[in-house]
Amino acid sequence: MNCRQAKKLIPLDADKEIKEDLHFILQAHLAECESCSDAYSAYKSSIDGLERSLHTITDGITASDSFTTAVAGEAAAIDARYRAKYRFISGFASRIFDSFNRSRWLAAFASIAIIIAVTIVIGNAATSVLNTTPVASTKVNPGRFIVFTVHPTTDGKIVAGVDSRGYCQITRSKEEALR
Amino acid sequence: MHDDDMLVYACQSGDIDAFEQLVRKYQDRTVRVLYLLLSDADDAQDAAQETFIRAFRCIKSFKHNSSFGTWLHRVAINTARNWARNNKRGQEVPSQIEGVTPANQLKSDDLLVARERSLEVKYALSRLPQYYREAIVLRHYDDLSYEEIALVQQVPVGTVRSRLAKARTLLKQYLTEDIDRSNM
Repeated sequence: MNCRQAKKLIPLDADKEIKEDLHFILQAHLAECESCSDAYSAYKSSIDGLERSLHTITDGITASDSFTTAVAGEAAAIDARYRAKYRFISGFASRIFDSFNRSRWLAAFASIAIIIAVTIVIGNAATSVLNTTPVASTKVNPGRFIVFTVHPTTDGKIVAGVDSRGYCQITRSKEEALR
Repeated sequence: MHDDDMLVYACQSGDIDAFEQLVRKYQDRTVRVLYLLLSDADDAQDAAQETFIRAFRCIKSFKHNSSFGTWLHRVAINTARNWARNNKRGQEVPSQIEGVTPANQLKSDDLLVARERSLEVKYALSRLPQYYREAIVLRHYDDLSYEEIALVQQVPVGTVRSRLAKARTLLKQYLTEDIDRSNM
């Protein structure tokens, strides 16, 4: 280790932030280099002085007598507001739940009606897609890709989809699809 | 399990008494750190209260990835930054050091010399840019490791190392200027 390297490591060593092997190499260098050893001592002494000064600056600085009470009081107020808000939300939810509890038949009927309505909407949408007459179809093997090439002059849109049996359906004129 | 962790868990489940215990344990340290960062005793008290209130508000988000003390430092540092931004007093550098006797009039009394020196350091510290001041205070007052400082300042360890090096150089420069001025 040369003096330049040693001087770079001095602050890290003084802060105990140096790797153990480098610490021993540095110490060995300091033992035989008076200039670096002096630099190390000067650095340590200035840092010790700085730390002493920082502690002297804060001598007598403490939290005020009412500090804990003030903070705990404010925390309790925040907690109370939070609990009140939570009670309001949970109270609102439980009121709805209770009203359902009082008229179970009505709730059951409403649930069934919602399920039926959703099924009809989804079913209609699915039927309109699946019932489209395919003009061309091909079998899609799992894990295989199909590349569709559309002629640049083609206008209109090609709707392609894979049905539940794994068939790819192209809903457009046969000639265009086969081109 | 660490005492703090148990108190934090209790606090996270809404135990105000547990929070009060944490406040009692960390209040003086927090006030002192904020005093060093803001250079004003009243600001330090107010900012420390705000720190604990902020900590209480977001204690549920504390994931125990670091110690509670380190996490609280982060809250304190952020509060100090906001404080310095909103209350310009924290950033003002006094034009002269109050109560500092020129060096040539210093008595040989060690305590007095230490006190004078500490005022010079306080003045030099207040002249440092915010991030450098934080690094110096966390390392040389609170004895945090580089890794902990990196967690508090939310920067890589390498940045902490370079900030500390730059901060020490600036401090040394400011202190030398003060000595030169008082000798003039």
